[in-house]
Amino acid sequence: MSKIVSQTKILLRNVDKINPEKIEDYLKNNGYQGLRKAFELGPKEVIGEIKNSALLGRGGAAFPTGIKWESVYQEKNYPKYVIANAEEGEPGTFKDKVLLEKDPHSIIEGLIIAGFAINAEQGFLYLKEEYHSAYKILQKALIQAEKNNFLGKNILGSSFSFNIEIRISAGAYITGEETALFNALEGERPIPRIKPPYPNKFGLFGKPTIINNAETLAYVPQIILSGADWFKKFGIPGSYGTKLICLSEDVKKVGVYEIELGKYTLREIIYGLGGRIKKNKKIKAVIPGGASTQFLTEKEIKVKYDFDSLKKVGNSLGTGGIMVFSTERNIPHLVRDFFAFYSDESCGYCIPCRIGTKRIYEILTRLTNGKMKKDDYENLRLLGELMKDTARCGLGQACVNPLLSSLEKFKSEYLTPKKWIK
Amino acid sequence: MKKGKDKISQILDRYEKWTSNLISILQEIQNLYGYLSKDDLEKISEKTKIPLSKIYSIVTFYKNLHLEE
Repeated sequence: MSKIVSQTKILLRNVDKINPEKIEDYLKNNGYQGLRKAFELGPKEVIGEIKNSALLGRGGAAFPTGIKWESVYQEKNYPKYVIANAEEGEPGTFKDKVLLEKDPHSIIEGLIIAGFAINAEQGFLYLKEEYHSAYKILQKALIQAEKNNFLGKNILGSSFSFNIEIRISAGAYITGEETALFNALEGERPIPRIKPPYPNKFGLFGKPTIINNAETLAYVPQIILSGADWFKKFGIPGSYGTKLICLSEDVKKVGVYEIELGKYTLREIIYGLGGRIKKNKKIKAVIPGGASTQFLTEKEIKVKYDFDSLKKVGNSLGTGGIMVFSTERNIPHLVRDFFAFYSDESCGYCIPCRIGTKRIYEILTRLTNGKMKKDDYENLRLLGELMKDTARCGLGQACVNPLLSSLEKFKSEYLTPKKWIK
Repeated sequence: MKKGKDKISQILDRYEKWTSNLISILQEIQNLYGYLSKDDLEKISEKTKIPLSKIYSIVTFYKNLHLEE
């Protein structure tokens, strides 16, 4: 019935095949060969290769990694820093966890290469608060990497010295925002900074900083080792390579998969990898990239899964967290639950987000309890638009995406809300 | 109580930079006792010269730093 969807495993190649606690296993599978090759090439060539590969950031914003690295390389302000952002807080996203726990060295190697490319001395791995098991595995991995001289002083006999420190968040969604993460690492309250200045000029401790998603960094060793042209064999122009996706909610086979970009439609991915919809229901709505992207209706999921195709329909690939909702679900209830989360997690610095998320949650709670007021629909829209235009950071601007898109696409559910049955 | 205070000094001694490692320090102390007591925070502030108000602003911000048992 459904098209067979096969995974392309670039990032997941080692997952469940090697013992993540043994560096020997990673070394057998071309481990740290990318780093050796990077030393042969030199920083400029390394950045050139990443630029050529047209690798886009996998954390949600899809910024070209090579351009980010080059802009930090050109800065003359030392010391510079590199950070792997593994603060995967986005609801519906759990892809980095798989890499961190099952192939930790791929991220570490990527981070070392990034450090080498811009001549940084210190790297940070910023982990989500809940990832205790990953923390232990990563700590072991760092010790083993240092023993093998991939970290520490004069790495592999070169003049390059580099260290990585793992920091674990104390539990706040906002610390995943890059500038809030800098503040967290500096020991400040994690409040997002105003951009510009961008991290390439004024990052951690006010120094030029590369901050990449953990998934993005995990591609780096293989791109350096096998070349940009090899990487471009996967995917389509504008969306080269693969993407880790997290299928969740109402599909039978929830999990992390790796697919080639631009090869399949969203519908093919959901049915091909996720299997059936729970209780044999049909799909009502899909969120394609974590809870801060827009809803797609059942008709709209014929869109191809790549950066440009989703952009064309006004949506985004986001983090790759595909949330599938069946016809049993009630959309206003779902959005209310999202806003229970966002109103809790808003850092409270800017008024649009602090008050906006609370008011939206209140209205949705009232509405889903069947006590709707006359202006509620319009007020939700106004609040959403206001937050999108005026919030200080990505949290406030993007969290209204599911609200605004569902107000438009599932208008009737808002106007005739069902009572919460449980 | 005395023993506890010594432990806090031991933890602080292991960190070179107190300001940027404040969250890690707080996490470590909390792992020890399960929460961060007022006395502990005052002790940290005294030793690190980080204002107590700032320490409180951080402790109260995060979900998993607790002021009570």
